[in-house]
Amino acid sequence: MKLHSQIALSIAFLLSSTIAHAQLACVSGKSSHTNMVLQMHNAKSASAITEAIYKQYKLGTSTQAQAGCVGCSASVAKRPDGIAQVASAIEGIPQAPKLLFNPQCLQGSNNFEAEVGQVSCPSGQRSKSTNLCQTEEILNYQNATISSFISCSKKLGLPTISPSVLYGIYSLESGFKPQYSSRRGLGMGQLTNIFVQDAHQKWRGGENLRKMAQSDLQECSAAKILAQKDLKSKPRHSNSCSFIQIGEGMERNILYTMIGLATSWEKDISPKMNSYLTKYANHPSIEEIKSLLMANAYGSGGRAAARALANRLSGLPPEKLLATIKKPISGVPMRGRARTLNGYTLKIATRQKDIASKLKEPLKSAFEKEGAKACITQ
Amino acid sequence: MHYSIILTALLASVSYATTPKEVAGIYLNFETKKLELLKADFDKKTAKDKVVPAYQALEKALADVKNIESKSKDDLLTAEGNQMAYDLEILAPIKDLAAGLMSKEDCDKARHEHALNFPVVEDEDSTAIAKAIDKLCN
Repeated sequence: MKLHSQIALSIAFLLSSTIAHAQLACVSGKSSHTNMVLQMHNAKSASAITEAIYKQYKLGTSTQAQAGCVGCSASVAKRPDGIAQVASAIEGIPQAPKLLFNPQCLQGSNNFEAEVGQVSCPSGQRSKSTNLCQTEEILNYQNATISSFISCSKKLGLPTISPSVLYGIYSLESGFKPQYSSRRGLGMGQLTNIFVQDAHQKWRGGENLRKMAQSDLQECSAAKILAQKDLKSKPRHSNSCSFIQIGEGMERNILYTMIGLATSWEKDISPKMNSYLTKYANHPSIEEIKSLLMANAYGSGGRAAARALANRLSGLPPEKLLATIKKPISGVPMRGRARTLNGYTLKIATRQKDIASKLKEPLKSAFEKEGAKACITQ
Repeated sequence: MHYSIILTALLASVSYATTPKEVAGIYLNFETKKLELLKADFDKKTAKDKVVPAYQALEKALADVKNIESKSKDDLLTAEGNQMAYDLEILAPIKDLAAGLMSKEDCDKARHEHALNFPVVEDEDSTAIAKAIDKLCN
């Protein structure tokens, strides 16, 4: 009897640990480093922002659970969506908006590791030996948050970057790891202090932040909560978790990236290209050109590099401009080094090649052929 | 001292390229004028007369380079032209400040734009530009 009890207990222990591991299947990081999983858990029960995003994208329901299906091939993943769509139509339930990125692509990007510290929240403790577990659920939530803020920006008429270039930015900056923190950059977008300040300047990003705060659009329900809060009390860059912690910080990081990109286009780049944009307004390549210039403003070359690029390239017709911006556009070497005006988007392109190797077929072939455009579901 | 070393290095390096000789000459002149502007002795009263014309001369130099480039067969973008376009952008906050009222708001904008131009990397140009802004704002 005693032996039977011991066996039963052992089986129960084995089962519970198996379940625990199954629940904590990390896409990246160690399953014993659970800080982000706890953040996600707490956000679901306590954050109004998380609640709004879960509601908007019907996360946790069967439709989006399929969207988060990691092992599925791109072709197979489409089938359950279709079935869910029919089911929704029959039941009269509104269809959840699609997530912007194919979940496999986020996982491919998430496999990269950088030699930077990782921040645990809410403590704000930064450590290089920590390797926080990131789950499918967290990646799916990031996907929904980005989708939500992009759709809000579009509805408000703000300039937006193409999703494939945005995917490239996040892949390069953090590999979709919200916990990453370098000396000057924080979180998913590796936001610098000046970038955060920019979102609040009344003659810069402040206008866009206000538009979000005042919006009654359903697409802006989550962005509105965050924007209203930040207009009342500006978050400090020195408080890492304000830009990292799931439930508010990670979401703020994404929102500020959207605002920063829109601002750089409105205030820095488009004024340099007014006549060009008028001339080629309906050209099929104009959105890609816009996105590549915005990305270069986001990168370490900053505003000046993007404006110089606009100056240098606006004499070229769109096809020629696109071909030129994909090769190095460098200045005069000084002390052995030349500044490359489009260095940031070239780095993105290099990273994309690495990501392809992490993907499974048929997405891998599609990614090799058309780059991150293969990751976009909309 | 640092700048004279850079200029010497530039003199040595510029002649290498496939760049048309006129472009190399224009660039050297541009670089000299840029360094003069950064080291110039100006204050709030004299900034408009000293900084704005100097900046316009630099803009004219880039326009001359673009004109030469436009005559090439294959839409040539010279390294000198790229560098000049970049340098004009990083100098723009000083020029905008000198051309305006140099109010507190103008100064805040100039400092902010300068910081956006150098979000991560700081170099000699960055330091010199920050000092020039301070000269007009402090």
